Amino acid sequence: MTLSIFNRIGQMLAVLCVQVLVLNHIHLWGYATPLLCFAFVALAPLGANRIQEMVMSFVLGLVVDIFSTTPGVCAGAMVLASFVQHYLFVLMAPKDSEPGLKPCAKELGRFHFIVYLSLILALGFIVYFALDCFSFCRSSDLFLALACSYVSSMFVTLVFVGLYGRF
Amino acid sequence: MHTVVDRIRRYSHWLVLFFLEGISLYLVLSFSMYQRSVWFTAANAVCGAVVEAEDEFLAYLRLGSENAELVQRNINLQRQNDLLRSEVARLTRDSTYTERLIAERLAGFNLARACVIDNSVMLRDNYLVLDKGSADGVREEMGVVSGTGIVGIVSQVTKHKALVMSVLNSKSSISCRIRGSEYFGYLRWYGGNTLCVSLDDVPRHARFKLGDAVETSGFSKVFPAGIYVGNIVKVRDSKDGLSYQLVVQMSTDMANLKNVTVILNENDSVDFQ
Repeated sequence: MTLSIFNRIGQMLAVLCVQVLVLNHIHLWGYATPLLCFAFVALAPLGANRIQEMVMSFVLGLVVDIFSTTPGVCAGAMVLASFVQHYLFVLMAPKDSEPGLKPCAKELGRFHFIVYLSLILALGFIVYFALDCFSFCRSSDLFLALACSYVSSMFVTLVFVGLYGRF
Repeated sequence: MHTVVDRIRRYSHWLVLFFLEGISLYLVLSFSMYQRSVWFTAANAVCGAVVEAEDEFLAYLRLGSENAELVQRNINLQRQNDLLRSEVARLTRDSTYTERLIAERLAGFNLARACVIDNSVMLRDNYLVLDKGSADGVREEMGVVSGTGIVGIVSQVTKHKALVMSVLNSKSSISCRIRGSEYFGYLRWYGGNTLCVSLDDVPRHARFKLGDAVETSGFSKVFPAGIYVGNIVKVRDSKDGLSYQLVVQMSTDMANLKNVTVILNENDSVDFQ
């Protein structure tokens, strides 16, 4: 249990470093900024303490917000993604899975794992952009930014989980 | 108690979710000007819509009393409108038509315009005082008319005043006829209603109907023929049963007289410019 917490903290720090030091400086076509923090949410194991996961996601999101000068935006999206992640994982995981099952392509199947990741990212990005833009008056720009960020973040997330040996 | 605690523990992640999302939202609204302005704009719009809906609902509830009030006001206005309409119709019809007729009848006469300075209608024998007298050519036994009909006969004259015996005087008796026929009678007043006088001694074989106009007959030198008096509103038998007594609604309101005209004899004509 303690090992699992340290493991999660390690993942959190790794995501935070990559996001703050590298990805925050990338603005593809002036729109897309890849977000890796949702990968941290997606890597939570089955049966993990949900309150602990939500608090850690909130803290991670808040730190990312501080470095991005968007206070509360990433934190809100991360908390909701973390909350929904449990249900998605239960839905995608094989029946009779033991608690502690880690989300990876080997356990879920490559297709299901990609669907699982894409759903978490989609939900996280919708909330993120909803809080960031706060209105739908420029919906075409909003949709373009969301799509670019989503695609680039999906790519970065797949690379990250691949490096972590989950893909 | 245990059940409540268990339930809270079971759904504690929901509480944490709302708590953390609340903090996030608070941070968004506190530190971002744009989000805050959008939020307040939207909140104001929603508040405005809610208040408007509430107002409309309350106004709808008040419609019953307002409707009753409007109906009452409508009735009052309708009544007022009817009154004014009839008054306007009466005034325009009577004054213009009668005035024109009287002017036609008095075309060949010299006239003296006078103002009524004193008037009574509440007595059995009523008189008027005019501001014209012998110095102005006014003599006794001269007829006095107004724009709406006959008024009376000059009874006494001083140098600058004239006393007129009103139609509303028991001693007054003016020869009048029913317009369109040669049947005549004598106009008298027996007290009571100051707008109604009697045309006595009308023969029983005379043909007339209610509403017919009564005018002066011209059988005396006081009034020329055809000066309008009023309309027949009622027919009664005379006391001896040999003739009719017609109740005539006078066209002249004797209680509301200001300007009158004295019909001067030709020999006594004076220029009153």
